[in-house]
Amino acid sequence: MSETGKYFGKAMKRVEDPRFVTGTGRYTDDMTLPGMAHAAMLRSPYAHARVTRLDTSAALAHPGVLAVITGKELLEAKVGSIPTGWLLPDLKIPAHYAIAPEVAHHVGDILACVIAEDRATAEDAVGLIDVDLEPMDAVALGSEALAQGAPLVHPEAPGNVAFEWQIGDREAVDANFERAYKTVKLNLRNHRLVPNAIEPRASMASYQRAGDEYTLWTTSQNPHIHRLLIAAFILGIPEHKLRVISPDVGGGFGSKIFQYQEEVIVLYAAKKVNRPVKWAARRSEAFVSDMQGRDHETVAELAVDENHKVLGLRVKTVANLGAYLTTFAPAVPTYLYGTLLNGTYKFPAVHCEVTGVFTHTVPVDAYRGAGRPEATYVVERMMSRMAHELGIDPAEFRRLNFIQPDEFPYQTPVALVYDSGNYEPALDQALERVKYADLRREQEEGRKQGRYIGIGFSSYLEACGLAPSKLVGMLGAQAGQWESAVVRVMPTGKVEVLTGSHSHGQGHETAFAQIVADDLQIPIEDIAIIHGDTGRIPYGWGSYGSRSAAVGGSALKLATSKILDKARRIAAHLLEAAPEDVEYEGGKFFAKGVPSNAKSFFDVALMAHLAHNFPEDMEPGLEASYFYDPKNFVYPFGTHIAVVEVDADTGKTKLIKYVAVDDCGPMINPLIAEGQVHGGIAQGVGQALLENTVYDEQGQLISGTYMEYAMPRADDLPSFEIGHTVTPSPHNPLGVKGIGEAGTIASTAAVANAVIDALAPFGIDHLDMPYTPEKVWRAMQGARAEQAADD
Amino acid sequence: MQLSGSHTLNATREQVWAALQDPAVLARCVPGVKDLSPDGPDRFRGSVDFQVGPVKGTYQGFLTMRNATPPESMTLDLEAKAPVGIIRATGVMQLQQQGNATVLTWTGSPQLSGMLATLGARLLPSVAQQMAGKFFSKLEVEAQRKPGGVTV
Repeated sequence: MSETGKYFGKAMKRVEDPRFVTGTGRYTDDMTLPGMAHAAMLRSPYAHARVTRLDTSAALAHPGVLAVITGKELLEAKVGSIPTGWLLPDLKIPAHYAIAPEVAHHVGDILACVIAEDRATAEDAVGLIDVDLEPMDAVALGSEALAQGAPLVHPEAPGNVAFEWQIGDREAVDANFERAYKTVKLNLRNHRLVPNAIEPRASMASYQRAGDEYTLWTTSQNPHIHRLLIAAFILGIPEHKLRVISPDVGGGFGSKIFQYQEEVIVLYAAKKVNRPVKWAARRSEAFVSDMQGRDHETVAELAVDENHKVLGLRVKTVANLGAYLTTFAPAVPTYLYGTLLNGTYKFPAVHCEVTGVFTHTVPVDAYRGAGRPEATYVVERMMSRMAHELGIDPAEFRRLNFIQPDEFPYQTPVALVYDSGNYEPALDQALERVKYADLRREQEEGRKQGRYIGIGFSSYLEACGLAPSKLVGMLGAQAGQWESAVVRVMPTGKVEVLTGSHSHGQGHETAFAQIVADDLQIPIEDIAIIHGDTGRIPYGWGSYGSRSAAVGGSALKLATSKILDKARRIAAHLLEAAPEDVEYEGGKFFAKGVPSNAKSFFDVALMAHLAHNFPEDMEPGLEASYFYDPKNFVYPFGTHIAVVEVDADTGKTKLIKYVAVDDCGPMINPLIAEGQVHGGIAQGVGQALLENTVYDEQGQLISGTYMEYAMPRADDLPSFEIGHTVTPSPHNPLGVKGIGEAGTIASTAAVANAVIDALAPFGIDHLDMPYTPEKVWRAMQGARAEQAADD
Repeated sequence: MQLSGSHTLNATREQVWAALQDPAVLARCVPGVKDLSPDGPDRFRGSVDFQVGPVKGTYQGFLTMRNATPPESMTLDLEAKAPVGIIRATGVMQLQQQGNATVLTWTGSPQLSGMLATLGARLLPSVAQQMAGKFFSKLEVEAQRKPGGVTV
């Protein structure tokens, strides 16, 4: 492990930030190609409608319009359905065409595309498409889609059921509930979220007729996955004739993992009009076309024995998948959710049933945390609810049930084997930082004066660093989950590092360079991190599920060590010493005990390329690659404590204090890690207090602007207090875990528990998020009325 | 969504009713009308410029009158579409004579789709009231010109 290095572990400012903060980043929508045309989409205004007539003649006749593309045309051109990348037993997979040929299944579903000289002309001409739609009944809520007689989304999925899935031992849970000392039960709604990356999606395609080659620039977290899906399933472009470039990307949070319709359309259009074609989403388009997150309706029950040890957790979830199955959609509410329901605890038995349901809404897929925030919300809400029922302290109830440090690797009842962990120190540090005893006193004093303070816990765990390819393959993944790296040393000793990971805000250009600079003992300025271009980097699976450091970082650590091995052998040859006698210190190779006669990294790099004086049996050059397949997931954990104050008169919840103690193993760059925690917390707090995606009964999205969809702002948040413990992962060469999603996974539950704790004097056991002032005020009024009636 | 309103027009019920049957009058009264023409008995077709908050468009559509009980009440069906969205609405209009004046009450339940629903739903009630106010104040003047008019 190299945390003692010059760079590894150092809180360095990010090298990419100057270009981002000075507006010199290169995003897809910044690109312009000679002769570039623009695309605009005709989107369904109805959640469910049949196209009875689609006349494009007026649009085509409009000056400046180059083409109007319809779903029928794409079908005739044999453009394939967009596949899903994760299969479950008996999964119903409806066709998902780039342009819906007959029936629109959600507001925003694409019905036609106009290609024109400029964007305004394209958008105007969309209005000239004469389309008659026959609206049909729609359903937006998962449980309503399962009801008898609900409108059917796809005939091939009777009852709107995409899959039924379960994990755990039902009999064991039933038996443990039989002998329970106490049980609690809650209906939990984990409402739907819109990702809202700062950069809306954009795609630009060009076609080079000479070589029959295509290039796609797109806002993607994983350009190779797009190339694979487009080549193998959708457009049939030979994979080696398609280059996918994902340049600077302004935030993904999962929403830019997926294969989108527009990416297919611009590629098709670029060949059709033989000019580059660009599409860029407007924010209102993003609301109805970016894959959304969460949307669970859950019934959970928790049982304990007389010693307050948990006996079992029983969970039944209806997961709303929206109108289509997108890239990772089937995995999110199953293997990324049900397997996480053991939390940080010794639950002897867990059983979880999930029904995946189609509705007439925008598809739901991975969104920061992807399944794990939903699981954490269930586990941590239930733990706090039970502690309240038992009349014991929620922190002590958690401590009592923690897995102990000597019990790792720990086999849970829901398939996972936790690699390492030590949960109490994180809890203790969080309690200390929040000044828990003082806070409880303040809470008690406050209640006497009509001040309602609440303290909420989330002793979360997550599984990230997706994961051994063999395992995910067994679970239904249609993708591998290793990662690649190439370290390429140039004659002058400068180094180009090609990574299969993708940075869309994570700071790889800094953190990855820190790893390589330490190991090669060269200045960090001499290293360039290259990512996001299938024409330059080796095949890689991209970034999602907090996998960049643990999987991508490990790959480049191992590629770097191959470079060092070879450099040492070259140096040994130059020094006329045995390789095992050569030391490398301060960027210099020398024979043990003879530091005065040394060869620098530059000397070795130059000779590797000149090969004038070289070992006879050695290849020239100094380049190495490594394809790293991890042995397990990594399991970061921690304790977050949220402190809120609820205004008794208005119902307004103010987050007044937030402490996060996370353990992601050794940190490559604590500044970046802290930034990830900050952003993650803000996103999770957003769900708990502010954000909500509302569809009306006809499937119309009525929260489609920032007037209705409340994103967290700086004045909604206190200054976070961040702490760390360090428990390395035993199975990767860096010992690192992951920190990209932890803040979001932990914070929603912490804030929810804090609000319910604040409302305890009103006898309120549970309220669904988001805790808007009106909802909280109504709950308090209801409780007051009830209390008055009782008096 | 349920909208309703009430307006007192200084004209007799017969005058108001007659004005409501006249396409030329309606074309002058409905804010933003570009054209309006009869399309069969009790049915009009036309196009209207209409803006709700940021959502602006030219809507093509039909207005159908049914269950007419002159000069007391009628039911109106509206269907209008624009690139930015679709409105479907059913409304009931009732006229009551009060002295020389007519009290006109209306209720309507519009169903919005597309961008109009996403961006405009929250703003529609106030826009609708504003448009109704403009419409009825113009209608009042037109009605007074119909036979049997009262002078103020």
